[in-house]
Order: sequence, then structure tokens, then C-alpha cells
Amino acid sequence: MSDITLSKINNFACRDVSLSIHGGEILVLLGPTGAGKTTLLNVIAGLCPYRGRVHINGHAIDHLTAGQRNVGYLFQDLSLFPHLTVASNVAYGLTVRTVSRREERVRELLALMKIEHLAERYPGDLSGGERQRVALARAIAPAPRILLLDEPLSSLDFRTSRYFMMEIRRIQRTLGITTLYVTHSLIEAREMADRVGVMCEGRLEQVGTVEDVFIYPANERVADFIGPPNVFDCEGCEVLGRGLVEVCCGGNKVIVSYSGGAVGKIAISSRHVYVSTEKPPGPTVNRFRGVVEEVMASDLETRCRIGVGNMTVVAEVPQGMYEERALLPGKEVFIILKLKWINVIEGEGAVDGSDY
Amino acid sequence: MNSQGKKGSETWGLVPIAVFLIIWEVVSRFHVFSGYHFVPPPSAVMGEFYRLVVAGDLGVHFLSSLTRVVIGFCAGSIAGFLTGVMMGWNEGAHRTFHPIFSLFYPIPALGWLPLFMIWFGISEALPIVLIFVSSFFPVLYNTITGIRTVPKNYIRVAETLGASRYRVLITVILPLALPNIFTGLRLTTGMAWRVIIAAEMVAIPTGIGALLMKAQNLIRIDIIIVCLIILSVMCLAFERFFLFAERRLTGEWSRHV
Amino acid sequence: MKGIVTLVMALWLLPVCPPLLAATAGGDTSITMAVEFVDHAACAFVAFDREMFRSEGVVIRSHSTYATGMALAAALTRGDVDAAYICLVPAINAYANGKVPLKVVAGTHRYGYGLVVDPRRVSTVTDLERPGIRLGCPREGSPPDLLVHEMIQRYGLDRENTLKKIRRMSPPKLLMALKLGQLDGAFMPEQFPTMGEEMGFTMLVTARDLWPHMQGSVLVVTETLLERHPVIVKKLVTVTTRATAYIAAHPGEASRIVARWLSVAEGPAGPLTGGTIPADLEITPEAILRSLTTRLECSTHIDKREVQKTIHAMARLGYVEEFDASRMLDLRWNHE
Repeated sequence: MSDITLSKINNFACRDVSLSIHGGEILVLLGPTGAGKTTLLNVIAGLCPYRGRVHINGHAIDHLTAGQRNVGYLFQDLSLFPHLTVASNVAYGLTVRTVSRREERVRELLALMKIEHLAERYPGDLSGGERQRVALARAIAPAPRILLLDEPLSSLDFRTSRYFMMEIRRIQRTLGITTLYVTHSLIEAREMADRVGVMCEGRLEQVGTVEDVFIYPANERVADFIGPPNVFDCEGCEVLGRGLVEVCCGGNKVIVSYSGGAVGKIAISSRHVYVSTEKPPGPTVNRFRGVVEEVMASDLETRCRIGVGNMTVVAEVPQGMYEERALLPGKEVFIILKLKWINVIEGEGAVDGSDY
Repeated sequence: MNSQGKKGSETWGLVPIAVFLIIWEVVSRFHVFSGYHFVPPPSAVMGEFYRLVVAGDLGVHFLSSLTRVVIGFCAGSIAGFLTGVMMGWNEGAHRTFHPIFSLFYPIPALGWLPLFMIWFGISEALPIVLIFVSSFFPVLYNTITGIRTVPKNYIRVAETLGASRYRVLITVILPLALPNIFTGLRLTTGMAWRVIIAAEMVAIPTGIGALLMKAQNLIRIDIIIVCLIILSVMCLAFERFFLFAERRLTGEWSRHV
Repeated sequence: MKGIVTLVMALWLLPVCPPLLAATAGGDTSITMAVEFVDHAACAFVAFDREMFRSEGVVIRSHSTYATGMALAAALTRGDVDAAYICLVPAINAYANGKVPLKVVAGTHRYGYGLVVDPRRVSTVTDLERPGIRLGCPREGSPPDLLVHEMIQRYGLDRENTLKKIRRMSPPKLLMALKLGQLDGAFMPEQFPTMGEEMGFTMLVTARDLWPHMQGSVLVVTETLLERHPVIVKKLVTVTTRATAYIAAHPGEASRIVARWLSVAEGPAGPLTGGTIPADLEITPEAILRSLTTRLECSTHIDKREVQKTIHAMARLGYVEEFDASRMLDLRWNHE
């Protein structure tokens, strides 16, 4: 289990990135396309130039070539050698390092990935899922200190990607390899990560647990990406006492738990917006009437855009509810913004999400 | 297609050839078109072919041409391949040599003939050097292209797995460049036979080209046709050989690339 | 799709259309003529220059020149010419192998071939057998080629050894190669050997030495011309006779005419196609004079026995199959 530390990494795509990855953890690096995530992987692998320092277990590796760093890298396009069989692909890293008992190791890996039956096939004859497994086997064959995964599920269909996600998790836990996993999918981040880092435009904006990042985005950029963007401008700020303030967002009075000064913007994750077609029981704090404006359904969840006064709130609703309650545009609904999930992101003394 | 189907298809492919030969035989033998365009029938051509083989003449000329082609082609291809690897793999070498080679490349091989005749005289070296030149450039540029079009990620993967630059070249780049290299070899091999015929037609005493010239001057059209058939068969045979070699070495995977 | 296939197949038939059209065309009495681009065709050049064809009423539509008789024989095979001044040997090739229906109607000269050598390397015929000696000669089936075989036989040279030394080229290239030192000797048709002498090379043997009464060049016409326009053929023979007489009477003037026609620098009078002589091999009237008067014997007379002897020599070498010379001769107007 190796610790990796990056200090002030600067190059054409990364700006002052500093990051620590604990031994044995999976850190998922999230961010939009072009954020510099893949470049960061290439920096660690020694495949692109950079300024700054990279340490593994306290030892600097900046002077080492890519081959000397002993990093396992699963490229986004997999890049399986088309002219080698599956077995030869997996054995490649062992062959070049003249590792003994190569064949035995290859057999073990093929068994681990459940692809023994594919040993003599060529990559061109394999399905997408099979190619992924071969690529992963090849990456971990030389027992690397760190595993870098660049959007490993991007080319897979939903069912295969779910399966492969579990496989990666299983193998990572079995082998205990420190893993840096790059993706733009929030679902993958939620399922895979021990910790999450968010990169935007070359900067590392926030690092923390899944809860920290998803629920308490450090700034608007993170919130924008983590989104759907439930970020609201606030006018006025009335201190109610007992650590509560009342702000006005789009004509709606929202009570927020906050001890600082004026509040500029608040944010709440779409998961924590409660939606009901009937008037919910209980206190009326942060309860609003709204009208469904748009429904965005996907395999895993359904998001509804709900107009509340001059505010538009995006809420995630369970699949069952969407179907049962027929949440169609024009439907009148009730929403509750749960107090404990509202985060002040702009204001005097607002939380700075870059504490890590 | 199963083997039976393939065989049937190949058999059917012979039918147009057979029809062509029959028409030719009839037209020639019965002088269907009047005029001075004397073309002997295929039966006379085959008869002359047999006579030349039995007399040993054809064997002597054919072996002369074959030897020159093999030597010139091997030397030119190997030189082209090695230079291509150097230029494809090393940017500095490419920048240095590409401007020079790009000046010589457009010159057709036979364009060098007058100059080589003065430099090498009328000797065995003349046709061999011409074939060397005609073989060198296609193999050179196809090797360079093959190497430079290998996707960069394959190289990166190999590097991260611990391969040295040399190892990456031998285990990844060259195998993936093989289809392009074989394309160059196939192009070259047909050229080599065309060049040798033309080179031998100049002044070389032996070879299929020399036999062709002799036949022209004796107005022995049957022998001319025999020479052309040999040229065609040899071009085909060499090209097929490289196709076969390419399939053996890359057939399993190259169709997916 | 069907239309395209039909069009492609029709394109295959295009090459046969011209001869078909030519076969059906008729009525035009002008003729095409071809001559060898050497002083063997001296009578033709003189006849053109002195407008003898026109005065006899022979209209020549176009005339072409060819550097070798073999190239001219190929043109005859293709049917591009009606009449030609050509060496006998390639005419026999065209008749026997090319199946060109032609007739020899007159001679133009006897002899006209010679072997020139570098005197520093070769002084006698037996010197030719020395290792390292390189000999040049036109391709098999040419008159010099026949003479090489005669020379081998007459002087008892080693046939295989001598033939291996031979480099085959056209006469202009032979002379250039000799000049550049790439050859030690070259057997060529006149006027090239005489030009070689002017360059300092030595005439070692001539056709006269090897083959007495050897027929050099002849006037041939196609059977079609003979059948359709025998009068024109008669006139061609008459012109040839007149031109030959002129050469005998005015050798100096004839030499100047021939040199002018053969010289690229001055440019010939009529449209030219075919072979040319490199400009730096200058053809002087003096060389032509010596060639015409000492190396050729200009005469329209043809001895059928000599023609048969030539056929026999070619058959012995496997170039043609033996046949009766009278099949390709029509000497009804050849009274000399």
C-alpha cells in the first residue's frame, strides 16, 4: 500500500495541484472534460512534463522515467496491443521486466479477472467488457504501487459498467492497490470512492469524502459540476437567532443554519430536496409550493425541475415515485429544503471547501 | 465462404480467361481481321514457350533476370527498411534526411538509367542498382508511415509497463508497422520486374528483357508474348508471396486495426 | 451498370478499328514511305532532295526515318508504310516472322557494314578473343549480327566466348559507347564505322572482307501497293535507278545531300520521326563520301542467289525458317 503525494504540480493543464492519496484507498477524481484529470494521471505516470514534486511513500519519483515508476495505468481507450494475444498482453509488463514464473502469474491474473478462456484470443475479437478486463489485468500484472484508471467505464453499456465497477472494487480491495480513478460520472464516484477530488480548469477545487463534496460543495464551480446546480442567490438576511438566518431567494423565504454575516448564495444537493404531490405533514419550515417544469428521466434516477416563485429547484426523485405519482410538467407539488442540507457558499465567513 | 465454395469461385474465375484464349486462337488462326497486325495464336505461343524451355534459352535468361531482381530487391528493401526505421523513430534523422530523399523520390527509377550507364557501364551492376533504387523509396516511405502512424497510446502503455525505447520499437512499433511495410514491399516487387525488363532491354546480353529485344528485332511476336507472360507471372508470384507472408505474420489481428 | 460494362467492352475493340478502316479505305494514290536513317538510304535522300519522286509523278504523303532497319521492319509489320528502303536482313525478318506481305523490287547497295576497333586494344581479329575485350553489335537478326557469325566462322574464333563479349545496342549508341571507352570494338552499318574512323578508330573488317556480293539494302513495297498501283511501284524503281546513277556520277554532291539529310544540326527538309543521331557525333560530307564510295557499292541490281544465301544464313542461326527467296522477290522492273 503506497501513499502518493503531489505538490504544486504545474504544466499546460494543471495549475498548482497538490494532493495526497492514502495507501490502499480509491480516490476518485471528478471533473468536466478538459479539467486536467487525465493530465494529472500522466504526470504521476511520468508521461508528460511538469513542474512540482511527486512522492511515493516519501520518495521523490520525478527523476524516474515512466517505466521506472512502476505505475499501473488503464488508459481510456485501453490500448490493448492488437498484435498480441490476451495472454501476451497481460504478460507484457512481466516480459519486459524479465520477471520469473511469468506464466504462473499470468494464469493467476486471468483467473482473477475470469478471462482464462480468452487467453489465446486477440483483442479485436473481444467484447467491450472483455477488453476492459484484459486491460486491467495487464495494468496490475507487474504489481504496481499505484493504479491509475482513466474513465474505465466510458465505453461500456450500463449493465456491463455496473458489473465492471464492482469488479474493480473487488480487485482493488483484494490487492489493496492505491488507486486514482478519473471519471466525470457522479454515480461512479458515489459507488467507488473512498474520497473524491474535484478538478475544474486545471485546479483541484475540493477533496473530501463523498458526503463532503456532494453535500457541501466548496464553491460554485464544484457545485456546478456536482450539481444539478441548486445554487440560489440570496437577498436580504435576517438573523433569527439560535444560529438561524432567514434569506430571500427568488421571492421565497428560506431559513438557513448559519452563524456568519450576510449570505450571498446558498446551495442544496438535488438529493436532499424532498418532493411530494400532497401537502406533507410536519413543520412548514422551508416548505414551498411549486410546479413541475421539466422531467429528466434516466436509468438510475429521475430529476425534476420545479419552479418555485422566481426560483428553479432541481430535485432527484426515486424512480418509483415518478411513475406512481405521474410527475409530469404542469403538476403541482410541494417541496421541502431540509435545513441540515442547506449550505451557505457565499457570504461573510462562508465555508471554504479547500480545507484538506 | 467454405473451401468448396472458394474452390468453385476460383474455377469460375478461369472461365473468362478460357473464353479469351479461345477467341484469340480463332481470331489469329483464321485471320478474322485482315491487315498486318500479325499476332500468333496462343497455341503457337505455348509451342514456342515449350521449345525455349527445352532448348534451355528461357532458363538462362529467366535465371539472369531472377538473380538480378532478387539481389537488387533485397538490397533495396533492406536499405529502405533500415533507413525508414531510423527516420520514423528518430525525429532528428527524419528532419535531416527527408528533404534530401524527397528530392530524389519523384525521379522514376528508369530516369537514372542514362546516368548509371555512364557510372556503372554495361555490367551486372547496372540493372541491380536500378532495381535497388526502385525498391528503396517505396519501402522507405511505407516504413516511415507505418511507424509514425502507430497510435501514441500504445507507446505510452508500453512505457508505463516498463519497456525501454528500444523494446517499444521492437515489440510494439515494428509489429504494428508491418502491414504498411508489406504494402511497400508488394508495390516494390512489381516495380522491380518492370524495371529489370526495361534495364535489360538497353544493352544487357542476358535476361528476359534482352530476350524481348532480340524477339522484337527478329519480329518474333510469339517470343515477345512469352516474355510478357513470364513478366506477368513473376509480378503476380512475387506479390502473392508477400501477401501470403503478410497474412502469416499479421493476418490474425491486422483486420481489426 | 450494364451500360458501363458494354462501354468498357467496346473500348477493347477500339485498337482493331484503324486497320479495319484502313482495309476498307481506298482510292488515294499517294504513298507513305520509310527510310533507314543511315547512308544506306542515300538514293532515297538524293531522290527527295532532287525531287525525283515528284518528277516521276509519285506523291509521297509522308515519310519517316528509322535509326535501324529493325525499327523500320516493325513499322512495316504494323502496316504504317507502303514502301521502304531497308536492309535486306530485317526485310526478311518482317516477311518470314512478321508475316508482312511485302516484295523486294530493287536493290540499293551491296556491303555497307564494318567493324571498327580501338587500335590501342585490338589490332587483329584474333585479338578479339583476348579476355576483357568488349565488342558491340546491334541486336540479333541484324546484318552486323550475321557478319559477326561469318567472322567467327571465317577466322575460327571461339563462338561462345566471342558471343559472350558482345554488348547489344543500336548503332548510334554503339558509336557513343566506343567513344566513351565502354567498348573496344563495334560492328555497325555505314556510315557509323566511317565516322568511327574519323574519331581515330581503325576499320578491322568490312562486309566485303567477310561476304563477297553481300546484298545490303533493298527497296520493298507492300503487296497491296503492288496489286493496286503497279505503276507507282514501277516509278519507285525508276527513281531508285536514277538516284543511284546520280550518286555514281556526282559522288561529292550526293555526299553533301546525304550529310545534310542525316545531320540534326541543319535540320532535314521533310517531317521526321524515329531515330536521331546525337548532335555531337557530327556527320561530315567527307565521311559520307568515303562511306559511299569505298564501303558501299551502290547498285539496284539484286542477285537472287545472294538473297537465298542470306535467308540460309539466317535460318542456320535459327532466326527464320528456310524458304524460297523468289517468294519475296518481284524484279520485273529491275533490269540492271
